[in-house]
Parts: sequence; structure tokens; C-alpha cells
Amino acid sequence: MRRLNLQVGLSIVSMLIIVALLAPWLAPFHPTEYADLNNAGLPPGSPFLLGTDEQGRDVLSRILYGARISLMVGLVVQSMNTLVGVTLGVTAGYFGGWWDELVQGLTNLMLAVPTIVFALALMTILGPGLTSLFVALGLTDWSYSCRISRAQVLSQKSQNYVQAAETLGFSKAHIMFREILPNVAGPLVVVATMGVGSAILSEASLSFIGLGVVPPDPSWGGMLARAREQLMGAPWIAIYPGLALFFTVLGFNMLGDGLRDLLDPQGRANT
Amino acid sequence: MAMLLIRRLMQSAVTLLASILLIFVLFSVIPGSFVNSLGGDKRNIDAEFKARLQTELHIDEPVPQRFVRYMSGLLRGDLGKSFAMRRPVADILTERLPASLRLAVAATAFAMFLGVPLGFLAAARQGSWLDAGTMMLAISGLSIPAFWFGLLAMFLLSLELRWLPTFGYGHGSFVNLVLPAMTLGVAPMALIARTTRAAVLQTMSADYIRTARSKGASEARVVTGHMARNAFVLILTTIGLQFGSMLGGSVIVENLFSWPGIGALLTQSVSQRDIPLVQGCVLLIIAFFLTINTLVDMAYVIIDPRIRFR
Amino acid sequence: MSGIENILQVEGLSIAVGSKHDSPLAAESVTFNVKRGEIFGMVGESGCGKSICALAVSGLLRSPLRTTAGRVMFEDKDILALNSREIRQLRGGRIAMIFQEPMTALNPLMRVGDQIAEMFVLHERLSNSEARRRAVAALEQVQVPSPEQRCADYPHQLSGGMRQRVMIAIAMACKPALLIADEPTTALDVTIQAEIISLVLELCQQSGTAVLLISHDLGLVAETCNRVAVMYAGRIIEEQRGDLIFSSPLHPYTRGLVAALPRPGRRLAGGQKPLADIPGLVPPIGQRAAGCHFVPRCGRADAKCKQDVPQATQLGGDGFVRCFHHG
Repeated sequence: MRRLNLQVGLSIVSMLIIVALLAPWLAPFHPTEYADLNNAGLPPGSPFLLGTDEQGRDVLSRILYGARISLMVGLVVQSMNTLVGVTLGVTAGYFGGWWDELVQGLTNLMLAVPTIVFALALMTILGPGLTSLFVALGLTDWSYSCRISRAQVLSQKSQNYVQAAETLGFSKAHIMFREILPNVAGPLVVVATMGVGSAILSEASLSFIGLGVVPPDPSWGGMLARAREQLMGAPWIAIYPGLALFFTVLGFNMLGDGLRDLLDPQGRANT
Repeated sequence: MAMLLIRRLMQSAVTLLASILLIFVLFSVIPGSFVNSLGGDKRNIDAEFKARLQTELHIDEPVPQRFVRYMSGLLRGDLGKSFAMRRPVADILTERLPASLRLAVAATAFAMFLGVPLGFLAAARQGSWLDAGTMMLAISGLSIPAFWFGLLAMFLLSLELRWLPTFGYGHGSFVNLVLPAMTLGVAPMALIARTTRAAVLQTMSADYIRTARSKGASEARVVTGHMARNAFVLILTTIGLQFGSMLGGSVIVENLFSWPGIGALLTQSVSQRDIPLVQGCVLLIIAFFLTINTLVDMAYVIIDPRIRFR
Repeated sequence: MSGIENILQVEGLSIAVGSKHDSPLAAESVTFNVKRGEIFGMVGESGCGKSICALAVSGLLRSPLRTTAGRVMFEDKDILALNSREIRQLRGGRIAMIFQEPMTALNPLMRVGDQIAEMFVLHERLSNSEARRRAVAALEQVQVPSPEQRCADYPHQLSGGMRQRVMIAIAMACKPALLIADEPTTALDVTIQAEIISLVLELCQQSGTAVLLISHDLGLVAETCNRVAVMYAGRIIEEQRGDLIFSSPLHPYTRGLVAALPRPGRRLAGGQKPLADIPGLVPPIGQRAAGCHFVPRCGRADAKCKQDVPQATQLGGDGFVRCFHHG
């Protein structure tokens, strides 16, 4: 049962990466330029395997290209989040004091409120657009990486090798990032993996309410937003992008779960 | 015990204050200093927006003065005036809050009444197909995008089967509540099911359960008299946290179903860059979460004798 | 030995770990009996199966443990053949248990008095208020001062010794015919151990309760028990009168245990006292070879020991030993 998580998750994620990389070759039609209104709203069949949307574009091709956008956003955003989280967490754990208190309070607050809310708040100030999206999403989901890094640093701080490094006169930065950090890697990988899925979902959500990726670029969330109006007559526009999104998030969640069981079977590292 | 409760209240007050400060910095200070947006599509701030910022947010004034003005306004219940609607923010929030609360309560009830029995069932049949199936369902529930589930449910239950209205508040009738509540409650239900299962398993393997059995108590008595209370203490946090996050977590769902609550208001005001209104919404969402969180913690002090009597 | 005299008669009990045909055995052909009012001790290291046998006697075995052979006759009924309702009627009322860890054995969210009162509600069908009154009396009987106040307390507010007294009060509440005490003093301070043991013995004598005392402490068991059974790797390898087991242990393992007990007196030239030990480790479940299980650690083992399982050799007086080279 445990192995299943890892295997299925890995398969799904690998498939996603392959699709994203090979989209230009896999997609039968161009996702944005091929838009013949005469073909609008066709149900799945040949040659449009998953049907067309309200603008006559091939749903399948848009889904395949959407994978590129989702994956890219997911990876960039999660990298930013991890960077912020780890920096805050490691420094908080290592230096302690008022900085630690501040970081902890901030973390608690960030954990309290759904990331969407903070992201929206940031986007108000930054304005619309892809860069704002990255900044907003990249600065709001670092809480778990922060918690974990901090906990690990605290438990490692008193270990012998850290004290040895201090005695030898290594700089604090060196100790933090070259000695302690590698030990934190395990649980971080788990959090980061699931975070990619989360980031992809957040981007889709924002695109769904019209504040994310701007049309005509094919974002799965955006496609679902459009689908809502067409729901009665063309439900496939809602079903397939959503299915892609679901499997992607599921894949990352399962991969994360599987990695956690692999790296930390007794659940010693608590989030 | 009173001391513990008071201390907890004080902690929350401090957190609330910190949040207010954070929001102030976010919405008042930053726009003031970074008047040119980072928008990738290069939508630079137009003159009108800049003028609005000046009059409403008083960005010409020094920061401390602005903060004092803001705080005194808060204490009076004045959260500023909405750019777009030109009405006091506090009034707008008060109007929209009940709809969100109804949705939150309904979604939590759905999540609880489905999630707890499911988790209990999975624990009782641990290791069986039922257990594995339920947990697979749970992980799917956590992965499924709420708006996709909502769309599918909308399609099936409303458009195809015509059992429920498609969207809208419908003057507060119950049928309108069903779809949004279900959609919002799916993920919390999955989480509650998982937590319940873990709590039941943990409790059932405790030594005092063995003692209860050795006393000759029936399995029913063991479950209701000994296991239930102890497991519930563990589940309470999850339920509380889920409820507390619902005001903010309903953003997408309210949008999907055109539900006139705080979440939809937030989206609307973000796209209009209506800073005072966004500020008010965020503050309300945080305050709601902190309130529920504090109540849950205080409930623990009352329920768990290990905390009450040191 | 007549049936009326024995309150408990365990015959050929075997307990396996796992549900397969060839699952390894945790206890093998365990046979012993406890007479009415007798104090019977079971001694052995961790993993020898003594606690598991205790659980089987009260019908508390849970998967993956299961009985594969034998009978457990309590008075005139076979516990293993009863359905759950019948066992429940016996548990608590006729067969009581006290466990090693009093802290975790009590429900942390229930007041102590209510946990004792539960016994009276379950077995004597008393009302809640009457049961609570009896609970106070029960605490008094186990020598807890200010019993009314203690009844209103929660387990975490009491000391370890007091909690164990509460457990004893619960167990003895309905004057059971048999008390199974599984390592009752192991988790307690040394100073309190003696108090608790003497309390248990005193109460049991008053109510005529037989005691099955399970412990790894040979000294304790030899001192307090009428008869002692020694278990090793799932089998009872020796059974003797309590006063004799110390002075004349017959099985090589028992001799090793007795020799390993630190004793005041004898010192070597350099002033040190040698601590004898039995070389080697107890074979874990599933890794026990054919023949006598003690072979790898026995100084007297020969080819016959490796092949055949020694059967019980009856001794004059009560007792037996399972060894080809005993004495």
C-alpha cells in the first residue's frame, strides 16, 4: 500500500514532465492560433480527440500546452517558496531570540489563512500579470518549509558535528548552509514535492477567477473558467482540463506521501 | 483555569495586533513607496489611481501618523471607504458576512457528518479493502480542485438531474446552499476522515482500553465510554481549524457559485484594485480565523483535565 | 488434582503470532494450574511468553496473536470456547487483571472514582451514586488516604504508587476468584514495590482470591509465591514450590537465574563481587530450533537435547522439570 503511493505518484509526475516537454510535438493543433469558430463547441471525436472549446480551439492541444504552463509555474513558485522558507527557518532556528519569535509568529499567521487570500492581497498591490503572479504565489506558501527547517536546525544544533564546526571557527553561514542543511534535505524534499502540486492548484485557482494567466494562453484554470459558461452544452470543456489538474495534483501529493514514507517511515519529522 | 483562559486571550490579542500591523504595512506603506506596479503587462499606475491613493490612504503623510489614523479608525469601526463602491467598507463587510457564515457552517457540518463516520469506519475495519478504499477517497478529496468538483457537481446535480439550482444565493433558501456547501466541504471532509481514523486507531490501542476490556465492559461501552471522548479531543482541533479557514477558503467556491459572500467580495475588489475593501476583507478573514482558533484552544482547557488541573 | 481444587487449569496452551498455518509460536504446550486461594508465580525474561499466556487466560488476546491448541479451564468452563458475551461476564467479576503501567492503564479523561465505580455498575448493577460510594470504600481498602478527594481526582494528579493502588481497587472491587498480576511493581519505585505487593497479598488472602503473579523478578516471586513456574522461550521448563526454587533449582536455566542474582556476602580477593550471567540471548519468536530451546546457552547440552523436546519429569511433591540433564 505504501509503495503504491510512490510508484503511482512518480509515474504521474514523470508523465506530466514528458508531456510538458514534448507538447509542441504531441499536440495535434496549435493551442491558440488554430481557432476556427466554425468548429466551436464540438464534442470529442475525430480529429478533435477531446472536443473543441467555445472558440473552436482543440481542447487536447490546449491541455497539453497547459501542462507546460502549470509545470513551469509550479516549479518556479515552489522554488521561491522553498528558498524563502528555508532561509527564514534555518536562520530562525540557528539564531533564536527575537528573530525566531518573529518568524514563528509570522509562520503561524501564514498557516492560518489560506494562501489564496495572501496571494490576492499581494496581487492587488502588484497589479495583474504573470510576474505579479509569481511573486504573489512565491511569497505566500513557505510556511511548511520554514517550520521543518527550523525544527531540524533546532535538533541538529546541539549535535556534536555542529559544535565541532563552531570550535574550528567556521563562519555561521557556512555552518548553517553547508553542515546543517544537508540533513534537513529529506523532509524538505517531501514538502517541496507536495508544494509543487499546491502551487499548480493555486495558479489554476487564480486563473479561474480571472487573476492569473491571461487568455489566450492555455491555463487549465482559465479553461475551466470559460467552461462554466458552456457547461450546459459542452461539458467536456469542463471535464478534461479538470481531470488533468486533478491527476497532476494527485500525482504530486502521492509522490510526496510516498517520499515521506520512504525517507521517514516513523513520522519523526512533524509538520 | 481562569488564568489559562486569560493568557490565551492575550496571546490572540497580540497576534491580532501583529496582523493589523502587517496588513497596514502591506496596503498602506508598500503602495505608498512602490507607486509603480510590477505588473508584467506594464499596466502602470494611472493618475487617477495615484490620486485615490493619496486621498484615501494619505500616502503623503508620514508613516506613524498614517498608522495612528488607521488604528483609531479601526477602533471606531471605520475601515475606510471603498474605491469602487464609494461606501464605508465596514458596511459592505457586514452585509456580505452572513452569506459566508452560512456557507462555512454548512460546509463544516457536511465535512463533519460525513468525515467522522468514514474515518471511524476505516479504523474499525483497519487493513481491509474498506479501509484502503476510504483512505484513497480521502486523498482524492484532498487533491481534487474544489472548482472542478463544483463544476462537475453543478453539471450533474443541477443541469442534468435538475435537483438543485445552478448558482446564486436564492434569497437564502436551503437548496441553493447544498452545492456550494458540498464543494467547499469536500477537502475538509477528507482531512477530517483521515484525522478521525488516526485518532481512533491511536486511542483504541491505548492501555486504558485494555483495562476497560479487562473490567468486563462490552465493546459498545468501551467505544462510547472510553474511546469516543479521547478520540474526539484529538479531532476537535482539525474541525476547528477547518472551520476557521473557511472564510478565506471560500474565495473560489463563492466565485463559482456566485455566492454573495466575503470571498467573492475579495475577488471583486482585487480585480478592481479597491485597496480599502481588500484590506478590510483580509483583516476580517484573519480575525475570524483567530477567533475560532482561540475558542478551540479555550475549549481544550475546559475539556482536557490534564490542562485544567496541573 | 481434583477440578474443584483448581480454579485455573491450563492444558497444552499454544499461542501463535500470525494467521498462517506455520506461524511461529510465542507459547508452546503450556500446562499449569492454580489452586483456589493460591499464589502462583510465572517467571521468565521478556519475550518468554508469560504475559501472552496471561492475556489468553482472560480472553484478551488480539490479532495477530491467536491460540492454536489447548484449553484454559476456569472453574468448569473452557475460556477459549466461550463467546465474547460469556467471557465478558467473567472478566472483571471473576477474573481480574492488573497491569504494569498504571499511568497509561487508566483513562486520562475520567475521574478516578468513576473508573472504580464502573466496576460496580457493570457487575453488581448498582446505581451511579451507590457505585461511587462503594468506590470510596474501595480506595479506603487499598489504604489510600482521603479517599473522597482522591476519587474526584484525575489519574495524572496521582503518584505512580497511588495509581497502582487504584488499579488494585478496581481489580479487587468485585472480589474475583482469580487475580492476574502482570508485572505489577516493575514500573514503581523500589521503596513502594514492597508495599504494593504486600497489599495485594493481604487483600487476596482476605477474599480468598487466587493470584497468578507474572514477573521477571525471580527473587520477588520466590519470596511471595506458593508455587513457581519458570518459562523460557515459550515453554515452562520447571515448576516447583516457591521456597524450593531458590535452594534447589533443577533446570540449568533456573540455576543460571538463581546464580545471577546479586547476593550480599562473598567477595573476591580484590574486593569485587562476581556477577554470574547466562551467556547468549533468548532466541526470538520464529527463530527457535527443534529440540530444547535452551541448547545454545546450556553447559550440559548434548545431541539428544538438540533433537528431542524434553518432557516433564515429575518430582516428588508438587512440581516438574523439563530437562534431560536436570539436577
